[in-house]
Amino acid sequence: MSARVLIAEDEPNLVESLSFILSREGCEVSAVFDGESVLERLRTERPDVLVLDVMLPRRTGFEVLKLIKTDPGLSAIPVMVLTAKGQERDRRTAEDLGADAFVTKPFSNQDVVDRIKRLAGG
Amino acid sequence: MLSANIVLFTALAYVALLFLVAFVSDVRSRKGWLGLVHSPLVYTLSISVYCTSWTFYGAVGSAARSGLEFATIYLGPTLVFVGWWFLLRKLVRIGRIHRTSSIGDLISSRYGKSTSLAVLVTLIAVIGTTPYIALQLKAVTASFQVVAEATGTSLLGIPTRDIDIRTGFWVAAGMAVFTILFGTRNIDANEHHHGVVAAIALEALVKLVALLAVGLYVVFWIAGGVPEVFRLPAAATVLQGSETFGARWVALTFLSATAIVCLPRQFQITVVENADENHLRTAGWLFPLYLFLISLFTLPIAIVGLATLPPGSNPDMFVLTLPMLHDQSALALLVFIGGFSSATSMVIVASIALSIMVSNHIVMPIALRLPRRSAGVSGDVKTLLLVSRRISIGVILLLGFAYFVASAQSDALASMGLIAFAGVAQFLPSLIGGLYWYQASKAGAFVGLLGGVLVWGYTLLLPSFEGGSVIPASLFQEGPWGIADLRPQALFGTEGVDPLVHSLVWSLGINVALFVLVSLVRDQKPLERLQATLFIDVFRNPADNEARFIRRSAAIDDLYILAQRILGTDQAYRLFRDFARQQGSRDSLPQPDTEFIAHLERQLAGGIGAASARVMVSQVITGETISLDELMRLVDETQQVIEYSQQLEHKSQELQITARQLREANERLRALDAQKDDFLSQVSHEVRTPMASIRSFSEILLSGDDLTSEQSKRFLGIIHNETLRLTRLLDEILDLSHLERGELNWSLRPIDASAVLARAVETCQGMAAGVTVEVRNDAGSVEVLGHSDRLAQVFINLISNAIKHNTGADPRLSIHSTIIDGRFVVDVQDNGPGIDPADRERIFSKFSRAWSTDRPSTTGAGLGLAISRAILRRMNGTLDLLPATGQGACFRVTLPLRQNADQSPRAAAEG
Amino acid sequence: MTWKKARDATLVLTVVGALGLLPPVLPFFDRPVTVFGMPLIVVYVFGAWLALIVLARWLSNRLPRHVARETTLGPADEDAVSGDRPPGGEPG
Repeated sequence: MSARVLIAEDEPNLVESLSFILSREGCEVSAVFDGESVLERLRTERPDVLVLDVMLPRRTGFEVLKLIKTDPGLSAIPVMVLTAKGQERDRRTAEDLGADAFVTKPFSNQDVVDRIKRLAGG
Repeated sequence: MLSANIVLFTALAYVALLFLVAFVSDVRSRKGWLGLVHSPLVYTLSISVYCTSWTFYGAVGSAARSGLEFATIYLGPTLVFVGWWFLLRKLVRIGRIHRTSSIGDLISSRYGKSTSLAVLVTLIAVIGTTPYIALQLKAVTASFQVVAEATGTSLLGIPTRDIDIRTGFWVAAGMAVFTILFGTRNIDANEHHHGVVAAIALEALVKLVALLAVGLYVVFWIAGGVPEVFRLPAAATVLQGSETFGARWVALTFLSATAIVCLPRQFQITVVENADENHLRTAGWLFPLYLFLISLFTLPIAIVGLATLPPGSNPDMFVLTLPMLHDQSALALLVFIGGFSSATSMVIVASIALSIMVSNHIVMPIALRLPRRSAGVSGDVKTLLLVSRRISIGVILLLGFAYFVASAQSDALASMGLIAFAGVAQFLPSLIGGLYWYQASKAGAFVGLLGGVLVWGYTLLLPSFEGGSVIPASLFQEGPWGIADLRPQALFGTEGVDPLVHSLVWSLGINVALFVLVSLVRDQKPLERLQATLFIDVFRNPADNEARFIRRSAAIDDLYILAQRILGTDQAYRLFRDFARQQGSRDSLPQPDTEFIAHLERQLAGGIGAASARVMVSQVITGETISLDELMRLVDETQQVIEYSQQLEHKSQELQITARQLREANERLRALDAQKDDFLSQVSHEVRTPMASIRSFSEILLSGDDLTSEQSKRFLGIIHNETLRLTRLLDEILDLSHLERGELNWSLRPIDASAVLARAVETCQGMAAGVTVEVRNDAGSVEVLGHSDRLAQVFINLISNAIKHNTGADPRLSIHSTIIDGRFVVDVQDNGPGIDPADRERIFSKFSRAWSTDRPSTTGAGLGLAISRAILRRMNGTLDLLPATGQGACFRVTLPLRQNADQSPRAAAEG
Repeated sequence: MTWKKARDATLVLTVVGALGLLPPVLPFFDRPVTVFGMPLIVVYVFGAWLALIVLARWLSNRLPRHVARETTLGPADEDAVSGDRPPGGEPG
């Protein structure tokens, strides 16, 4: 598998760990650290999967998700939402906005890899 | 011109009509056809027995002499009846429940069924009423002579010859026969005399029609209209008395209001003869209306009489002489019959009331104390009562007649009406006190009554005999034994007062004073206490409650014999059978339990009075205990009910307030709850983020054999850092929580704030590489109350924030300290990106990162500002973000200087 | 109008009636003025009296009726009780 994965996450340590496990699986990983940058990056390149943290500076993950899913040009990109809140309310918000997967922190590495593989393959 | 024979014949025919009406009504009511007799109209009309010949003839006389004063005699009763709900209703209810047979019975029953009190009241009533009866006899005799002679001075209202006492005798005799026939036919469980009441009601109508007829005649025929009457010169003389509306007016109004309740005949008609409490509702306005109508023409008749009749005419006979002067024989005859009606109705009812009192309260107690000649025979007590009542009526009328004869040639009788009013007014304190004051005691009532009556007799009754041969005139001028302070009409120097007002104030004053004082000093007996409660709370406690307090037992046979003796065989049988049925027994004899004995005693009381009934029942009782505990409980209960109902309204208002407060508190709690949820959610987020790194790297380390040692070391380092971050976070949360709750292990001490600031700046030098820090101290050394490490923590937090968040190309930081208005002020200003105005307050809340554009892992969890603010608050200081002035953000810390801090109460309390 | 208000109004009527027909008020009307040919004081006393009666009648129908509820009546009273009184409570 050589999927291109974009990680939007403001915690550098998590970006590093996600990059490590996904690279190990053969993915091509790039990262941004705030909501605004995600949208900028999507204008120039199109990842196979987007890993999106909810609590992002400048624009929250949900705002970004909403923009992506309502943009006909971007809505096809599979999005996996990451959140540290882990509340049922957030999960529902994410699903309503059209998230393709939802993972709460702390996550199992294997779980994240499996989901991303599935999203990239679909 | 009317001949004596025509007048006599008319009078006799009228008397025959009265007999017929009384007879028919009696027969009908015996068969249970109450019809009209049992109506509020008849009840109201019968109450007008209040209007005797004294008012029928005398009101005009009074108006001729004293103007409007005559109205007071009617205004008092009007007020009592308008307020029927408060006094009369209670009297009638008590009278019905306790089978009260007279006012003496009511007072005696209230004060523990006292015999002595009943005797005293009866004696006062007889003393007060006998001359009043004499007055009626005289009025009938005089009016008969005036109307039948119609010659000589009779047109002046003065009989030509001496008063003919024979007329008086026949009138008295006729009244005695009537009263005995219809007033003592039976001893009822309730003293209802339907025949008498019907006759009285008819007489009331005749009185009213006669007065209205003569009034209309005088005003519209003789004078020619209402304005014409008042245009007569006599009108001015009549109405001129400027002293009319003085103390005497008040006294007369009060006296007449008292009389309508306390006169034995009024009590008899209003309370004893009352068949239905709801009749009071009608009487409450109809009786005042009757009084209004009967006095409507009094003033005009007086004015016209003064104006048209020759000088020297007797104003008391204007009603009669005015029609006679104009040769209106028929009208004169009607007036005579009206006056006759008012006199006879008073005599009849008064003698019935008195005979009941005499037989129940004087004859019965004596009979009960005499040794029993033989075993009780059925109905023997009943016979004794009937006989004694008949004799009493004869004796009372004979007394009245004797009084009439003795005073026939003097004017002593003229003032007798008001004297009688003042006499029976002595009942008022005991009566009202008994109805509304729990502590009123028998001893108080007796002493007050006795004292009041003695003073009344001395100051009012005695002077009415002045001029006679019995009492020397020196008594009135010099006082007994020459003691001026004891002159009957000027006690203790109270000279120049109207004799009636004088007597009323002294007698009632002494009466009330003795009544209250002795009641307060002397304790009540248990029975008095029980009766007090039953009377005062009559609307709350039915008399059946009596059984709750007095436990008695007796043989049913003894009770039956007793009942037979008093009620007769038939009535006793019915009484026992009905109660047995009520108990659910098929037997004709009930269980002689406490309840039945109480019921029986009440029934007997209707016949012989409460005191005698109690004595008689006690004779056959085998055991009696009065439960004082129960009694006290009852008093408590009723008083509690009153208090509760008063408190209830108050409480419901309080409840509304409380409900509102609860709603507000609930809203606050909800907000707090939401804050708590929010806080937990934040904490969860802040904990999960480092946990995610730790778990992720741990899994990498666990799974991977292909890691280089460098990688492993790096990952372990990250894990280590994240655990430190977690620890820091938890420390901060605990710290903040303690700060907010005020649970701190540090206290405020005098510290040099400038020195603390300098140390904080120094500490931050290390991280401030590349940042220009400018420090300016205009405050010098300042002493504040605080904790130096904590204050340093605040400064370090502010400075490090300013350094970390300052992402500009040429980061600058300015720290300026000074003193403003007694406070140490430190401004920390940077030239960074500043803070969005919308987030100004939010940055001080927990976990806020609104202003953070930096990577969060390098900062705290967003608790720093919240903690700093809490620390400063604890030192009575503040932490604020100053309004944006240009580039960057400026935080300001202020702390009170020590001398100012000392004055602050909070610092004083904690220091 | 509730019966409690009617009761209070009755009390007020009685007290005001008493005060209005006593000296402090009466001399005020005792002046040489005539109304319809009658002296003012006469008109006032009888007018106030009549007003008392009219108001008392108006109020009397708003006070609760008494309903006899004794259970231990003698035979003579049972006739008296079986009247055509409307039902209603007796407030204490």
